[in-house]
Amino acid sequence: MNEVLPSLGGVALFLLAGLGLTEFFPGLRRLTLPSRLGYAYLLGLAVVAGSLYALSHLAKVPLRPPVIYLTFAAPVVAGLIRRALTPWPPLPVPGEGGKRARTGVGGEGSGGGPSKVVIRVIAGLLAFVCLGLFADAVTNPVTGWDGRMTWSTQARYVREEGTVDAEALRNGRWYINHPRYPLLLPVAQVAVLEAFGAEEDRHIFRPLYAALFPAFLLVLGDGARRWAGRVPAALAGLAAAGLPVLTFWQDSGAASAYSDFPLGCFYGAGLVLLLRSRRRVSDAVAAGLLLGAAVLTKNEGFLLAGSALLAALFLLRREGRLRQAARLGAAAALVALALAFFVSWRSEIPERHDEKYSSFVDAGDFWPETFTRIPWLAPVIAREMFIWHRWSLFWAVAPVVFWAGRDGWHGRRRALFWTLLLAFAAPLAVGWGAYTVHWNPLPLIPVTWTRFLVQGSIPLFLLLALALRGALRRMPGRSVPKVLLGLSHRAG
Amino acid sequence: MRSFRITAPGIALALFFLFLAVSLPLSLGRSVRRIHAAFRFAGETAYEERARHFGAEYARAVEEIRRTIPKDGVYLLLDGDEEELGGAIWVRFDLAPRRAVFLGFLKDLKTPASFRYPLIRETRWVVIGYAQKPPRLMEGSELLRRLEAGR
Repeated sequence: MNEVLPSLGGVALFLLAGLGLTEFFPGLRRLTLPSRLGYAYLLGLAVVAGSLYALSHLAKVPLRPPVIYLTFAAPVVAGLIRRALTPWPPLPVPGEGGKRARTGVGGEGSGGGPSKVVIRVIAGLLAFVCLGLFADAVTNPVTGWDGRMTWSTQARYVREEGTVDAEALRNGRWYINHPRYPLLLPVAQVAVLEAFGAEEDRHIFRPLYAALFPAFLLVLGDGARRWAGRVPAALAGLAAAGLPVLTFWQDSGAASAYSDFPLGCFYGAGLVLLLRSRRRVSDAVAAGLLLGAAVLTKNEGFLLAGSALLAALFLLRREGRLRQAARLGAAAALVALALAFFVSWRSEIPERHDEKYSSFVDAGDFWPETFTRIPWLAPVIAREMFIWHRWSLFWAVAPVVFWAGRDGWHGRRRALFWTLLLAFAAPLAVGWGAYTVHWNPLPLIPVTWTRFLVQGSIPLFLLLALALRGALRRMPGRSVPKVLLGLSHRAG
Repeated sequence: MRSFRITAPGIALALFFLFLAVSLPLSLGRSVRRIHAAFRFAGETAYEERARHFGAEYARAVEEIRRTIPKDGVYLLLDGDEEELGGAIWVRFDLAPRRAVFLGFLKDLKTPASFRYPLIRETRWVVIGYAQKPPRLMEGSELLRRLEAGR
């Protein structure tokens, strides 16, 4: 536990930088502090690590403490100046956030609001799980397979040479697995290790990953509260906290050093931002920064970022289409920039010690195998989703909740439902596409399918919140679940 | 009066609460264990951490290799297992940023005519990684002697 202070410091550096950045985005600035913290942490990670990645590759700036301190400090100072110069925005008026906050399940006519005690108990449980993740991060070294094979190994080589264009990556004789994988998270690791002058073996970067879980919960809470209400949001958060696959599982959860959970956070948060503020171009810029970070987090990040933009098209309103197109265009431009940068960086890195994808796949198989392989692969996929130490009972229960709560996306939430469904399906489609063209996908499924589900987890849990809303609304006013949650009519 | 009528949403919510009742205590239990471990192992060195997770022999072997090969050093890496179990990849992380040149499986180095032999002769250090055993460090010349002796 001698890692505690620098570990907290590392998280705080990204958080403070992100809080500075949120000053520039009115939609984020208006949020309550807890909701804002989730986006702030992700933005801090995206912009600071992204800037260092770009400075190192494009300007050949060494990844050493002076530059790292400046990169952390710049958004903090800019945010403080912005805050001093611009009057603090008014709090949400009752009728917007206030109405949502006061009503129970999902807003209109759902009866009394949830009991404060219930909400506090749920918040306490979630905080305790987050504390456990942090304790794990400061106590144990990297043990997950991909963390050791790829991400943290790359970080060590980058740190040693002080550049993302390390000779260890660029010279084909050195043994590196997946040398062309994007380096946003390894650069974040380097930033923390260098900022605190940590020795070779210190793992003070692990809490960066652990802190993604509270960020995930806060972003999920923001979206779910807005679209489904406080209680469904809280219940969806509890469901997420109960899943090892998102928390303590060493092969992609927040306790790992894998890039799937970070990708899921960037992708999900970018999507929520795109959907929740449909008027402001500036907020779309924030979404674009997060989706750009998704591009620099994993190879499939670009496909997911593109899917988020495509999904957001579903919610284009009839009025003000030009402005909305400008919003999506601003976000898309940042995604394109991130992609161009990524291509530029990886173009000088020889491929080696990676899966020989071209020898595994035959694109000609895509049709009709995308359908004919369903009976062959579906049972394997289903088995993955019922592995107890990853998913507990989740996939046994979730379909029933979705079916019973289908009212949750009727009416004006229908478009939102389709948008979220498309966003959840995007990573699964990427996976299915790979399984379709691979000559033998059976060994591939156990090591990849769960990760694709993790990548789509924010839209999945938003859908769950909508379904819970629908189910709760169909329950009588004094039914057991509503009484337990403090949602029963208090009068009469 | 409270309603106990059985409805589809009622069943769905009952199942959902069952899922929470089963999975949340497990998550909270994991948290308790991690927090307890954080206090119990407070102040551990990196060596002690590694020994706790991967075994004392593994930790000792890694320390020895790291003392021998300087941080900016280079080594040849061999996979000592009969099939690919990841032993070489596992130890490479603990040895990074020392750079590795991967030579494949030790079992494939039977023929002295192998193109790998000159490389081994020219390189000072060779590390053999195993999935279930600690890594072994030896000098290239020693490995060649052993190979030629058929060991």
